Amino acid sequence: MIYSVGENIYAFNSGIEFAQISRTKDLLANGEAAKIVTKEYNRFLSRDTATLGLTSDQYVNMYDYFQKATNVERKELSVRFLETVPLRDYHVTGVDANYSTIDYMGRTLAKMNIMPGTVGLAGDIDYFDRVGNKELTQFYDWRGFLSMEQTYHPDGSVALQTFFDIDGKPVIEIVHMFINGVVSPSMYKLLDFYGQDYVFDTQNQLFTFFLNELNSASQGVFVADRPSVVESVLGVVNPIKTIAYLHESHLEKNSITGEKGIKLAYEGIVAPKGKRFDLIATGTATQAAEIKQGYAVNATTGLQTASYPIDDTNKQTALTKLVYVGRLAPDKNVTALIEVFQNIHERKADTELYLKGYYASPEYREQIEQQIKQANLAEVVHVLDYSIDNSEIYQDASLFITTSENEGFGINALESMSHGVPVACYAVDYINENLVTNGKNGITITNRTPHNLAKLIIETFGDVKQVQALKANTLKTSQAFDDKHLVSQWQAAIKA
Amino acid sequence: MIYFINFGMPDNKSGIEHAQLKRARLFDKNDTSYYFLTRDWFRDLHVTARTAGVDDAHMINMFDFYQHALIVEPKELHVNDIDFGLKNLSFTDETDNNRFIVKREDNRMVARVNYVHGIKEVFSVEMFDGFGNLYRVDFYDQRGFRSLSQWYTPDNKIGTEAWYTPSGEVVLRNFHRTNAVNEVEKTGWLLSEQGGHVHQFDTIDELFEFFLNQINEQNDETNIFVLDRSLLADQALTRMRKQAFTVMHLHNSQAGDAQDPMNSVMNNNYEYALTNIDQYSAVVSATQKQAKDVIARFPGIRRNYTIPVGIVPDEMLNQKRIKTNERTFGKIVAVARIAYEKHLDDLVRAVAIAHAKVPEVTLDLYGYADSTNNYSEKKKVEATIKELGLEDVVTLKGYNSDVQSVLNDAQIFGLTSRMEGFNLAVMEATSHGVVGITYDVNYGPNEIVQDDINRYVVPFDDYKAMGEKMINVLTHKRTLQRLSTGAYDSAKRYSEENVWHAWKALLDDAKQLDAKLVR
Repeated sequence: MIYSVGENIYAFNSGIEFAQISRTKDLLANGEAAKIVTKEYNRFLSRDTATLGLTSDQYVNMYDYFQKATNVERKELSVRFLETVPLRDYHVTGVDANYSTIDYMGRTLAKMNIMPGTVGLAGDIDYFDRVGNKELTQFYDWRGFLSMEQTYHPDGSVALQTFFDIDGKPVIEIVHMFINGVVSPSMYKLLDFYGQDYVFDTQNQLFTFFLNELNSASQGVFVADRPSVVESVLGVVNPIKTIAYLHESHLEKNSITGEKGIKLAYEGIVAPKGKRFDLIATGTATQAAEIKQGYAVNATTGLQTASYPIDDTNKQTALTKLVYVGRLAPDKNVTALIEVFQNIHERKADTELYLKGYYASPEYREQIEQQIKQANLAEVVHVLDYSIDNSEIYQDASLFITTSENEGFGINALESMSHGVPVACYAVDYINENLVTNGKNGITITNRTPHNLAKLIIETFGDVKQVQALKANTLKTSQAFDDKHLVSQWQAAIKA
Repeated sequence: MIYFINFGMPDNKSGIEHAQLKRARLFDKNDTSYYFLTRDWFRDLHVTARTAGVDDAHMINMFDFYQHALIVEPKELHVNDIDFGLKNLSFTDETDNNRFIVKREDNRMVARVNYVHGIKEVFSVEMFDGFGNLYRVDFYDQRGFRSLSQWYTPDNKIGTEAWYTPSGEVVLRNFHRTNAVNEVEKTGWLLSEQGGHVHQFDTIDELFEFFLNQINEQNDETNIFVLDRSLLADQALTRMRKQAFTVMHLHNSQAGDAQDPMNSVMNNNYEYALTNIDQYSAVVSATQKQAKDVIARFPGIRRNYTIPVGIVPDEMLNQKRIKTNERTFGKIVAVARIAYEKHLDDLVRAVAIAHAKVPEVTLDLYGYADSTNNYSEKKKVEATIKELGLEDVVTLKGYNSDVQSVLNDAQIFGLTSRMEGFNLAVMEATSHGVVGITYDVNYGPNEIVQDDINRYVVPFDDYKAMGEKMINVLTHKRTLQRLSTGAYDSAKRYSEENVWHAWKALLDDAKQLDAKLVR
């Protein structure tokens, strides 16, 4: 079993989750047992995984596992038919589409919040005392069962969380008390797990225990896809193999000295003090070689990050619609991207830019929107909501642009290429020469300024034949990175 | 079904518990079923109740009811039965503190396990997280399961109290929060019945009312609720959701000044119930005299029953009588809590008068000291003894559950109370042939004690007259024997047969009444 271990699967995901999903689906489609494993509690997980096309046997979440809820059919639980509400004694008042209240003699005893995105289904219930303090909150899982309850300290911070299995039996308690004077989760307790209680100081310790349970049920290759799961993955006793997968550059520039050094998050992987991973995998062979050369690690290899099915319907050769699909985040350097477009638009007024994705923060959103406004581009820059299926935006796209200062692989660029859309980007690690090669399947520039990139893009699109050649090559690149290739790489790495 | 309402059944009992227990024995003898309905949580409830003769099948405690723990097979619980969820722990027995200290290998505290001295049965466990916080204290029911957990706040106060089923599911919680003036108080109760409704209550009184309704609605009968502790449910019983035969049982004087029953301020315990007595089905008084006075002041009473709370068992009526000259000469006893309303300093003063004339006179006081005002009454009695130089004459004996032998040896029983509802001790003394000398106090002493037949009744508050009467009987041995014989004879009034007869009338009325008419 190949376990791809991460934190969570969200409504809004990053490339890491997409890579895990792509990898797991490709492995399964090619006869390898594989599963995504997630650490964090998420009562919307079944909804979000379904949106991503995952079935319940393709992933396992730690809380679901202990709650015996890894495979539960959803049932719609209306707040109007909750068994916990004694209609003989209390009134239920529907206030609006978002919540109803439980009232007694004119006083609100409890507030029943509707499950987000549903009409009238139970989401969570806050119970209040006579002076309006929250006493208790009950959280319902998307699948329609009471999943967790929490009580509060007098200052309103969470005191105790109790998680239930689908039969209502408590299975996990999280105590919140002082750690260095700050109220934080200070104990994780597994209750009556095969007849015994287990106490853990941290969630990572509980996660280690859980991974060992998985390993003893079905011995596996454990892939740590995020630094936050490294400790737990290295704690698995007797796995087939442990692999750390680096989804981005392990290096960053020191903001003062300007020198490149290891990102703090990756220190435990590339420069471990304790246990080492059997293998460190990266999106490119280039990065793998660098790590092998620079650090005392066991073994490294480049392993394909993701694959996309090929769609060759896009015949666009004119420079009209430029696109970017991905997180709208500072590390993706979106400000430079808009400057590139600004340069292009000044020379070619019929161009438009489509950005599709979610902002990293409200502040960043504000910053980008301001930039667009000040550049007078509001009419021609369109920001589209994040969604899973991107085929529509690529249908008539001319070019994919990214100005990211580094990429572990560039799966959004690969997705673009699978639609026959060439990629323009800075010539940076590790996308340059690995996924994108200037003049072959895209446009890259070593002298990295928005002006230079814009200029090169316009020049390139001045020659239709060259654009057609680029488009043909993007499809070839996608073919080279197909699922068969991904799976054989992984198979070889596991056997090595 | 008939239910007797009280808060519990502790080892230290007042007259109310004794009255309930005697009633229960009487119901047992007459094959009539009943339940004790108790409100409060005690970890040792079932042990103290069993000691008192109440088995699990005759008790419904509110907490037990919701915890699904009405009947639990008891098991002994020792420190090694507790699952701390950690391996390689060290256990240090601190015998001086009656506890085990449990630590991790790295010396971090895991728990303090408090046990009962000697047998080392666990009764509470203080639990610590890995960061040194006391996060909760578990209390174990004496039957061997975790019953209550007090969850602590980061600043080391109780935050949430939670009660669990023996299998570990939380069913009842209360919450502590600061109020508008920044004082911490219980601000709410939340009941989550297993697999069922969630109810919220502001106070335990509201919760208990809900519980009483649930009990009442368990069957289709017209249930009888006998309210023995008025303040537990005096409001609830006036508004039961399903009709019930509700009985306000008086165990003390209804008036604050029992000597002035028509005008004095009401006894706080009964003020609400008697003011709303037309909402009750019936009132039970222990004496005719009280019944008469209560009806006079509260004409809205629907049904009145006079049922003695004391019962003299048949065995006792048939016992061998002990002659007064076989008893310790001059031995005076009192069986009463050392409390304000018992006014025992007056008894000490009366004994001082008798002792001056009859040097053999001694006084033994049996009863636990009331803790009100930091044991002020006990201090007062002790000061009086010192003032009168009676240190060798008066002895405070404490609570004694074997009063039989005490009463078989005493000649005189003294009573100086300010008020009474019945006074079981006087009745018991009477049935043992002890001659009572009592104040003319409402209610009980002046009815049980028939002046010059089985006792002497002296004017209320007149300890000098009481002292004189003591001298009188101790110096006239034939009078003493005559009164003692009279006492033995008069106990028949409280025979099982007579008291059952009185209860039977109430039970029959409740049964015959159409449920719709019951109020």
